[in-house]
Amino acid sequence: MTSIEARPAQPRRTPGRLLFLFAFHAALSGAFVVAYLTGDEDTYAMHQFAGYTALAALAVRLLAGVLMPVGPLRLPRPSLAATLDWLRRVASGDARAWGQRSPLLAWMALALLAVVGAAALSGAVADAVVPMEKLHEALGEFSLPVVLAHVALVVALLGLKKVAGWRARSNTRHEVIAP
Amino acid sequence: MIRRMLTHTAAATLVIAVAAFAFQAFSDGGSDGGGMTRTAWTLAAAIAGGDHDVD
Repeated sequence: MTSIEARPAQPRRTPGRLLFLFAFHAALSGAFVVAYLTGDEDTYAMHQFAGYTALAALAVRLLAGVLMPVGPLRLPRPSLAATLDWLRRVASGDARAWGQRSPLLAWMALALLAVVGAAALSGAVADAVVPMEKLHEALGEFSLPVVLAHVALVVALLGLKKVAGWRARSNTRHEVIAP
Repeated sequence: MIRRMLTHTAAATLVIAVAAFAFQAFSDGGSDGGGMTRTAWTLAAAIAGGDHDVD
């Protein structure tokens, strides 16, 4: 086989660390949905099962972040300076800023880890310390708007990226047509 | 990538819901089937009612 022969087509493999993040996101969001919908007293065992699943997923994620502080598994470290710079560039219409990964995602990830983590942890503590139930309930209710804000941010950033793509293609066409 | 995340999330939600349902059914009434029926009714009522109060 010479060096110019095409290699046999192989399905692209997802890196293990990315798969870990997919699995973590799936486990945490799935457990959150089930725990939120079963918060009633009659479905308490389901609520407990889902809550402890969320807590286990968070513990594994934190452990991975601590053990691997560099790379995709590191814990989110939002930067105010980078966020302000990105927002300024987005506002001024910089197409590259519209298409790149937003620093807002790190803030959102941190907020989600904090709020959902606090809700799950307070639930586990409330199993033993009954007065913690009110706090757990409040944190559970507060976590829903944070989760919805996360979804809204992802959709908005996806929209921004698409618009940046259209603008780039439109500019390229104009450059080709122009003499 | 987002589509893949949504697919994984939907699958995980289903798996966790089924596992949690089984856990509740067995803790309610053992393996005679009565616990499962009771759990199905209470779950449906809880979701339809939208009541998330612990007490």
